[in-house]
Amino acid sequence: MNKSLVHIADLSKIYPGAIESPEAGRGTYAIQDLNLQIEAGEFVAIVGRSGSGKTTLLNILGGLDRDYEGQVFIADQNLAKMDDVELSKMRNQTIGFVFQAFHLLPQLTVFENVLLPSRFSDYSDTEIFQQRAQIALARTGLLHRASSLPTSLSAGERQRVAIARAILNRPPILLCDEPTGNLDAETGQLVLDLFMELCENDGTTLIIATHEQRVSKAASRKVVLEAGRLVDNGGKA
Amino acid sequence: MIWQARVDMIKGAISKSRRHFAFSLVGLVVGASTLAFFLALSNGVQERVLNRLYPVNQVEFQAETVGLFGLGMEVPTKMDVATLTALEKLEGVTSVYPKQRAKFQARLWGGADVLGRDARVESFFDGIEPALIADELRQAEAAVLGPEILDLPCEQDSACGIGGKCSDGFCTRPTWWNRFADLGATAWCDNDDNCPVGMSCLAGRCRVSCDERCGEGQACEAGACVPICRNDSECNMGAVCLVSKGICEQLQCRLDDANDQLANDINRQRGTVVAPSLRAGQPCPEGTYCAAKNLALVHGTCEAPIPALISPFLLEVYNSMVATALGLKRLGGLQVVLGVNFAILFGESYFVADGPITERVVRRAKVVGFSPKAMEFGVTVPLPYVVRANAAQRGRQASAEYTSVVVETRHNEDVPMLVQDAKVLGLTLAPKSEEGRKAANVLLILTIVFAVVSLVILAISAINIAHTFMMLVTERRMEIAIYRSVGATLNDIRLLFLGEAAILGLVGGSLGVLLAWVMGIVVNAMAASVFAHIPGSPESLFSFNLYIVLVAIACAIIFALAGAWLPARSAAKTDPAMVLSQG
Repeated sequence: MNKSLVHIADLSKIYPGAIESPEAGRGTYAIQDLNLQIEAGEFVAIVGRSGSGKTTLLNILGGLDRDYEGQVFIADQNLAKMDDVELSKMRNQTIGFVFQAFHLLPQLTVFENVLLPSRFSDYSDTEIFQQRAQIALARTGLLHRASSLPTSLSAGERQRVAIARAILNRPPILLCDEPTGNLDAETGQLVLDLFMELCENDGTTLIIATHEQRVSKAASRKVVLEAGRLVDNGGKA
Repeated sequence: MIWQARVDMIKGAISKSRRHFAFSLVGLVVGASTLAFFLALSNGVQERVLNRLYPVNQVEFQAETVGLFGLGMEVPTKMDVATLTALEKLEGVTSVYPKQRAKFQARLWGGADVLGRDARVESFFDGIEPALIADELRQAEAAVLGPEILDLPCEQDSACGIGGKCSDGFCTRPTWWNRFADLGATAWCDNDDNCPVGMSCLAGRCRVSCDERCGEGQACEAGACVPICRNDSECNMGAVCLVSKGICEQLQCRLDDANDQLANDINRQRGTVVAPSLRAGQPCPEGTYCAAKNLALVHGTCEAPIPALISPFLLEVYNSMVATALGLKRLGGLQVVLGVNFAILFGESYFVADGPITERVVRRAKVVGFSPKAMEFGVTVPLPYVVRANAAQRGRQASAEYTSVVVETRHNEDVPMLVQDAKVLGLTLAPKSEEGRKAANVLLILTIVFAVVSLVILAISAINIAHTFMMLVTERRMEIAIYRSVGATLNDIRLLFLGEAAILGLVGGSLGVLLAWVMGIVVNAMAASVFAHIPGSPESLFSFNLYIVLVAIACAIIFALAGAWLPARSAAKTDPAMVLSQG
């Protein structure tokens, strides 16, 4: 039984080399022997250079990447022992993703994009989901754009739609990969304020991979990765 | 994931890729329409042509012919009562109906009431068991004349018009089908050899001989079984009840030119002198006529006309060929032939010399029904008439052998085994049944060939669908990855693509069936103009039913799913982490 919401033990991820040989080894380490615990309600910034393993770590935490060694627990569930249905349910209920490139579906309206997780939910009460979507859009300040298509929105607005989508099912964890990377400073700050509000008011655990000092400074804890190794866990044992 | 969400996503995906799907649809529509077209054609030909000519669950046998060693001749083996008894015991046989063909020459004369003048033709006769076609006659009659019970309340028969009856408070129309039965006529004889097996010549008529006892409803009178009665209504038409004896007796009569126009015409042509007097000064009762033993005699008994059936095919041939060639009036529907009177002249022919006058007999007949089972170019009468006539004209032996036998089986699948078993009894398929089997086999082979062609078209369309879906999967990798990131399972992704394929198959199959139906209408219209003058050509060559519609749509769906199967698997294998990272 782990007390931490997120518990990572001896995590390694290897991208296989083109040729496996004694000299080349098994391939390239994206993450190597990483141990990390994150408590509920923490705002953790994962920083490091490009290729340091930040995105890989988020993908593993989100159950999108299952090819790793070591153990990863989310809310006491060992991801390695979960099947596809359980992992998908976790992505639907426990985790929300926010990406640098927003990843909205262009053919759907803002409202439909926000509702997307409800399509893969086991619950069929559409009214509740619609209410939640309205609340999520209201919190991100985009309720007035509900019927617009994503292509008519600015970059900041798109990212806020993506955040509304991520919080539709009120997940306890948000995994964000460079969420302000494509935004100007002003818009980035708006998005960052939104994350902080979610963390402070809802107790959402934020795990944000970022290059930006502004984000890492705002975080309650900064975790530094270098070439897949944890070089600073932000002062935690 | 709930089904409504799945359906919404499938609808959205189809609407987004309309062009791709429309392209994939073409193959499915062509394949499904080909399949539905040929299945409906096969079904239509089976139902409207083959089943009409060769009834289901029914097969006709005739005696096998055997070669006479060294003589180069073939003679048929015998088919008698013993053969029929053995046939009845075979596996799957439910009923056996012997048929006997007239084995003597005959001419037919009459039809003036509908043709405008009398037709005179060489005639051929078949005798058939009335029980074999009673139901069919009733149905065919109802199809032409409407239901037997009319929507006309009544209290007595007079309220129901000529021939109508009041039954249970409603009028019933006159019926014809129940008149096709043995009424006992045509049974004169000189000796026992003029009578069928089991009958003896007693007082100049063939009768079932007896010592003391007869069957139910009969009494032994002067060595013959005769019907018992209490009044005239219990006797056959033309017979009266001799109340003192309690038995029926045919009324004696003399041919009379004032009473019987047809007999009068025939006799006048021959120069026969007919005295204008009748038994006790009374004409034969209504519905009967005076039938003499042979043309040499003017005395006879009152008889009801022989009930006869004709084939609808004969009417079609008449309308399409004979009426045109001979300048005669075309006849309308089948109902016009009901009640038509004609005379049969036994022992006469247009092709060979007439027999001696003492062997020539005139009988009246009346058309009481029509059936595809009736002889196509001739007249079909109840079997006992032909048996008695054959005995009278050709002797007892001729009446003891049947020409063919119609066998009804429990299931159509029993027929092949029955054919094998019947061979042991010296029976072979009658030409019509043999044709039916061959035609059914040809139809089956053609149906299979065209079904395979249709399935090949569908298979090609499945390959096309596979290609299109593979392209769509590549195009929609990001969409798939986004779905995975918000909680879609592998199965959700697979079902998304398979659902799209199923909808494609459903739409393609439905459009295909619709197209086949339209093509059927076009082909029918073309066939109608080409085959208009061919008798017996059906109104429609196609028969669409729910089974065909479902098979065509199901095949389209199955092939669409088969085409989308690998792409759907490939979609589910999309690595969301990699796709989302690539942005």
